Amino acid sequence: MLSQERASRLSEVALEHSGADATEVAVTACVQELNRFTGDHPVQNVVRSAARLSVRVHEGGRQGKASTGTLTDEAVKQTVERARAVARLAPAPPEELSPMPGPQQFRLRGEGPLEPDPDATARAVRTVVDACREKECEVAGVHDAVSMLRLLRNSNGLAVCDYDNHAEISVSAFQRDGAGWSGQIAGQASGLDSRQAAGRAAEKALASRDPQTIGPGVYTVVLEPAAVSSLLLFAAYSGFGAQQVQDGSSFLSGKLGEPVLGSNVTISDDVHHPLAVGPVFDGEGLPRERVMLIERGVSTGVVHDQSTARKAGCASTGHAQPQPSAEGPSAGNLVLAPGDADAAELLAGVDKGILVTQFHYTNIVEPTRLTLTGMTRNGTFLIEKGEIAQPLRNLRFTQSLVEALQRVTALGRDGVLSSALFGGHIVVPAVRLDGFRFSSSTDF
Amino acid sequence: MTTMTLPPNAPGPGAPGGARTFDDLAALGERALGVARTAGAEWGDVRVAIVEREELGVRNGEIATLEQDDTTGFGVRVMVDGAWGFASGFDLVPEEVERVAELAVALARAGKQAGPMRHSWADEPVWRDLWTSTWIIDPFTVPLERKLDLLMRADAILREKPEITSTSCSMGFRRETQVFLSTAGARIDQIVLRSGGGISATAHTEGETQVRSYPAAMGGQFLAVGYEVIDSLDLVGHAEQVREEAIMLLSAEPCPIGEKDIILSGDQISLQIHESVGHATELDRVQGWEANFAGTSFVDTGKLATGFRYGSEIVNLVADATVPGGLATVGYDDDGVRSQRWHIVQDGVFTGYQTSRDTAHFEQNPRSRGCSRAEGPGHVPIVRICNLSLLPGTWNFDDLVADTEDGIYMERVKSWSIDQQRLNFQFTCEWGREIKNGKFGRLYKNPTYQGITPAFWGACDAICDANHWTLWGEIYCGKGQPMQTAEMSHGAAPSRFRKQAVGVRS
Repeated sequence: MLSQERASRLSEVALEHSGADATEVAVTACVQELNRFTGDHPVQNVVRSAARLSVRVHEGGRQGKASTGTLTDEAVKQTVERARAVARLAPAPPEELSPMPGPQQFRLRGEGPLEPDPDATARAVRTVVDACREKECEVAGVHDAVSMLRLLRNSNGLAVCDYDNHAEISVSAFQRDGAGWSGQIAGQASGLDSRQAAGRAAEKALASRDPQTIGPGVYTVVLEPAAVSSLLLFAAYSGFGAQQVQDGSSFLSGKLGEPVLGSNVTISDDVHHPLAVGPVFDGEGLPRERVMLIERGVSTGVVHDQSTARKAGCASTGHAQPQPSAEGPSAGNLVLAPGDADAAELLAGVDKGILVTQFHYTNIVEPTRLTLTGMTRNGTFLIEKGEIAQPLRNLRFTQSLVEALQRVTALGRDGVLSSALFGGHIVVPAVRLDGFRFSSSTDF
Repeated sequence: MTTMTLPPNAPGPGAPGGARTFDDLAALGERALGVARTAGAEWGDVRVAIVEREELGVRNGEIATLEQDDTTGFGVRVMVDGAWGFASGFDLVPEEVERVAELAVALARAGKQAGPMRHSWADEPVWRDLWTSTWIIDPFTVPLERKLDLLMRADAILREKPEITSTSCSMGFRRETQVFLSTAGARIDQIVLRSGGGISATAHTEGETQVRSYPAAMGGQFLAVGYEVIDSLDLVGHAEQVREEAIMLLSAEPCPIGEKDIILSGDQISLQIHESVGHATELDRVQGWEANFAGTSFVDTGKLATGFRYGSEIVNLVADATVPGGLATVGYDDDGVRSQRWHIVQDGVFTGYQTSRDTAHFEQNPRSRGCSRAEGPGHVPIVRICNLSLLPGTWNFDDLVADTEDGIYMERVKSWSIDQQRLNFQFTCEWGREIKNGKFGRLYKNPTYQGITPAFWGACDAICDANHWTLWGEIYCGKGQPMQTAEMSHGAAPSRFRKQAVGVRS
């Protein structure tokens, strides 16, 4: 992996070489060790190593950016020149450029880089394969460990460098027409319990054999954390960012201070949550602050970069993308506050409903109500009189997330770091809510 | 061929190793093959590449993206005792190439602890060749001022009315220059250039937000050509229509809920092909290699032997890595397999998969179809959708509308979702028009249709002719872990599908 010392030295080369009015240098590097397995063997066994340096300059009130994956002094200097050339050609922006910030105080993760350990990874995979085989299940999954180095410096004196690491085990188990899934995300691979993940996936696969069909309609649902995260991620993508709020496309536009979700729903963005992963500073080099977004159902804030903050008359919350950005600030570390229900209590309140393990391929149908569609996956069950009654074939939902979160009747007591098909990391508990609309069904 | 000079933006004399020619890159690659041979690998390949990229975007009158990038890197793949290992790096120096190759060998050996299987590897002639895509205007030589001026002018037209609250005008260019070497003796030097762009406007009024795009959603139209594609799109000339149609959608009626005949535009069908045929017929997916992530497929290998009916008799879907301008058009894939053209569906019957050298044997085919591609040198090759097109039919578009009694015309995708077996899909488009007794009627916002893949293609009863056929580009296809993006094209003409479920209650 690119060392911190080399990243720092390259950034020094760029800053010294640049004669622009202001210069920012960002270096990112990653090492990823990933073993993807199907059946009884790996189908991919990979260590990726990548690095990139980007230079952003302000020159004469204009902005330019260039980047390179060739990390030599000469290539870095050429990248500076390209960035400056772009700035000189760029038209003057209608509004003054956001300044590059000066020195900041950071609460760094202080971790070091993860080193690939192919033997340990292979043993973990073998554990999963064996555990599923004991239950006579087919298996597919991934064991993944990622280490990211991020360095950002600018000519105004800002300098920050940190590692953020995470590891994941994700297991799908199958037996006949039954499917189950379980996964864990931790700061490093040693924090993963591969046997436990495999066991849970296999148990769910066995329990979901011989699924029955249930028609589309409106049901009470108990959503396990992985299902919740694949919904809530879309509020991060298209809702809690100030740019969407300002252009009117967010469900929060014009509703700051108003009740928008159920009074038992509290959502924050908090990169320093004990379970959270990801960078502690943003694309402009500012510390990511904890932002209360929804407090007891009331809209209390959105995340900002410097540009949206200026328009709103407030300070950036440290949620900028690397600049310049068309997407605007993004809430990358959502935390849905847990409740007090255990797994049995979540089911106990349901006379007739559906338990969902995962949603698949969720996407936005309409942004202002956050209407989403997607499919259930890897374990869908009918709940009757507070207990799991039978497995179900999969269903498609089409549902406003805003309206769904107005009808939450219970939250699990444990927050779990969870992801989804399109990425992201959210800390969420299981959730029970009423009136969830399934719009069509499948034969599997 | 081997002394060909690399593109002008390639790393200069100060770059590691001073790489300037294909031969320089190949010399580095040979270091990796040496390690593989010494380790006794049954197979080893290495890709050494330079990727140049330029992205320009204007949003609401401001430059949102203006970035030039170059990336160098290499990826080494080895099979040792039937197990794969892959490792990649970015420093183009001999000792680093050798270190990474040794890591790939270590991964393969360690992988044997996880599972016993020996991977298969289909035969292929040992090619030594130079292949390049073709272009008229090199986009990297077009002045930035000219590109920005075009985007700014289009953006200004989009913003001429207050209902438009957000705009996006963009173009992008990517050129990959790669050397592929294998322990079998292959050497393939290849250059692929892809270019494209588009515009969109978002209109907003109280409680309603609508978007309109041109010439396609999700960044516009891309082809494996040069800057001439930007000139051909006439983004400025179409900006007024995009703006006005976005505003019209604010007052459009909701899509009715029920069963209607639908006519889909070519660009919408291109995504339908991608999601319900393209991914469904990737043979790695059929074999469960994506089962924990993107999913599997309903198109099991038994369907090949039984002549599974995928669609109506007029449905012919052809994979073609040789079609000019196609985003997946290459001389050779990243397994070193020469490009091919073949039917996935012929006269409505399923006839073949998209395969790589390590999946070809699952369809009893001694040769790969050449669909193995990686996002870049840092990623391991996986089965990717080829250029996959619906062959044109016989209808004139106006005649097709006139022939439809109770239907909806839908174009340009806005939202898409499909299940893990590629059966149950639901798409929402930007623009819908009622068709009543052969004539266009009301405008519908958020037109939505939902269906099951074989039934949907089975309901196709009319396809417009070659005059209406366009090769549409897809540049954001995500697959695999770690997630890789890939580009491919899907050609289609407007087509009719009888009695589809439209509208959705939410």
